[in-house]
Amino acid sequence: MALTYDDLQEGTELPIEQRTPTTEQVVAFCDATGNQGPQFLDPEFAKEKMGLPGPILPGNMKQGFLDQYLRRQFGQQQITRLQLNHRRPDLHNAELTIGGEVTRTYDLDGRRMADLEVHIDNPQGDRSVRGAATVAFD
Amino acid sequence: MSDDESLITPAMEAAIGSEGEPRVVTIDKELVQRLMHALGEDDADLIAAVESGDTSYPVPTYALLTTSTSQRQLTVPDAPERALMAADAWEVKADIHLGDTMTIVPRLADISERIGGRVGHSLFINHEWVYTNQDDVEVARVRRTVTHFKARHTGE
Repeated sequence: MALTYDDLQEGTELPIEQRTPTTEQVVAFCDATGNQGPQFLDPEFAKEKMGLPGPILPGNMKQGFLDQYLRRQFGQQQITRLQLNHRRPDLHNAELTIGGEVTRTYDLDGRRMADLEVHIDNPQGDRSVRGAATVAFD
Repeated sequence: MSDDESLITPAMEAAIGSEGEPRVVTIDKELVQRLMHALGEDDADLIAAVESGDTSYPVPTYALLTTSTSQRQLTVPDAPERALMAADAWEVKADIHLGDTMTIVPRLADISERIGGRVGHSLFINHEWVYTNQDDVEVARVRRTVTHFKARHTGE
């Protein structure tokens, strides 16, 4: 059941969710978005050219996961802002832990709003994405 | 070049604020479906609305990712070849629907640099795209920060 404005106050933690995007999903994402960057698909390129441990998730795929996560929490309420800082690359087939916390609730021009901190952690518990979002409630 | 010498060249500075040619795209049902599959979407109402081609049902902002190839990233002169996304941001002003026709205008918003950090001396280049729909309503601003660097990434 979607959270409502009345469920939220500063410090309210959002439910944690996990995703483990597979290589097949990354390939499908790259296909749907037309993003064929070799660092996302080619293990040799990722290692030799980029110095990465293996092919990584596209940053905007993680943006997609966070958008989806917020819709799960807030249903049809409008996510008016979603900002992400990519702090670490995430590898294929690694579990991502997605969560968030309310940082502020307020009225803006008669509309009820909530600002959130959102994040993605990698399997080592390191924060790979740190971000912020705003939800506008009808 | 010493490590503390600026990576921002006069040509880069001159490019800041420049806009590229607008591109027109449509929010395509099939691409949105493929993207939903890739993200493991399980919202039954959304899946049904997209399957039926409902053009009144607001689709997630992530539908804009299907237009990524039309988010032409302006070429920045002299930028090091190695690059990774550092940040992404959406500012959403109106609902997005299947079949919307969007005009995307790219812009090189700004450039900054940082000495130190995981990849050493690096450039942060901010690209921005403004999406306007068929009713001339600004729907979203998409911003991407790309870091360019010369050193190899540690993967950390």
